[in-house]
Amino acid sequence: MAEDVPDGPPPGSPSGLAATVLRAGTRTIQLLLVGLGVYTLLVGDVGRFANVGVMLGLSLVPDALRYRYALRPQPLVGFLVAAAPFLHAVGALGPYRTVPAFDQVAHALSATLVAGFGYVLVRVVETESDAVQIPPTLRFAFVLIFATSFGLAWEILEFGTGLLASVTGGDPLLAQYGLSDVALDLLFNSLGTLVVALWGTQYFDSLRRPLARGLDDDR
Amino acid sequence: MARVDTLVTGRLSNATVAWTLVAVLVASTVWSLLAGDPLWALFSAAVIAIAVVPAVTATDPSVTVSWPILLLSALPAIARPAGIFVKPLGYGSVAALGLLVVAEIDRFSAAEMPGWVAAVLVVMTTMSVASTWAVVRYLANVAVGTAFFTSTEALMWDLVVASTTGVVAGAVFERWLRGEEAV
Repeated sequence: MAEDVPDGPPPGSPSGLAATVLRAGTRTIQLLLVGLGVYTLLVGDVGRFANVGVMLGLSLVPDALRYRYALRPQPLVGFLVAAAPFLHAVGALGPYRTVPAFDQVAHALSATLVAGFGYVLVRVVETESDAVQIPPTLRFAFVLIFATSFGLAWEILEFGTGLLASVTGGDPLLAQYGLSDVALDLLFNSLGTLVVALWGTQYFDSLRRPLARGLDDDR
Repeated sequence: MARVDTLVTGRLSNATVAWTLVAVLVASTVWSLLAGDPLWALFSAAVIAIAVVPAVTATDPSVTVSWPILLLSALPAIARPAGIFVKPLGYGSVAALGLLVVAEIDRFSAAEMPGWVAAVLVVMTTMSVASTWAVVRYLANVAVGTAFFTSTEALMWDLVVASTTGVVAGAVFERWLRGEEAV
């Protein structure tokens, strides 16, 4: 029951101008991440340098997909994949502590990506696997459950690095900043997820078919 | 093919116990409301909603969820009015709710999945329930001043134990499905 993914831009995709702006924004963010990396190196902050490095790597994933697998991620998706890690890299330098709601915005933005990935995963599994069948009416619920549980797993990871840091006496890479912060993180994860599950899944459609094709090649 | 949906049955004996539990849950909801505990009224109501889905969907009151799992998910709501509240009840309840949701999805939708996928889904659903419940409690604390955790560590350990219980529930579920398959 292979379903065709249209080649053209999905409904609601940005016009040529918007796409150009989004691509320029993506490049700007990647350059800023490089600048942040140089800065953390100059001040000798190894932990944050590693953090910025990982985030720069994440922001390059869409480019890698385009180069390696001839995928064409939507410009908006490319921008989000750069913007979410960028916010995290900047936040870890201080704003997480000093700017109210910075953490929550970063979480909501990341959650949209996780939900988008969950959506692609659900669609690929439902079209490619004979053993798994997911009716369209349940897609929404599956994306919600996937992204919500991922958000909690992330929060537990943050807690874990905090515990580890308190044992080793270092600085936690993924810090939690108090009780309200954790609860609000979880809340904003759900809000970001809900936005994608309700209105945003079509932006991730262009990633479906090549991924499914990749699975076919593995067989 | 694993029978995930055997957690929803049409047996009368099961239905009798299940409906008795629903009646107790209704009483618990009313008690919580009268005792000024809207949060637990909400919790009981959520368990009731999940418990009656099979009967409503099948338009047949004899179709109900497996009563031991329903009892597990209802225990905190039943124990509270009796003045007993121990944390493990809450963890067991959240995992049981995750299990019931997955069993109902399997039974009443066109969804089909192998046992291990259902088990993973149980873990993810349990974690989602735990996360959502934490957010609801936080919002209620901000809005009307109901009790909430007093430290980040307390909240996080609660979520860690709830998630771990979900993993255990998923693993037990998978083993049980294999047993069903072998019969």
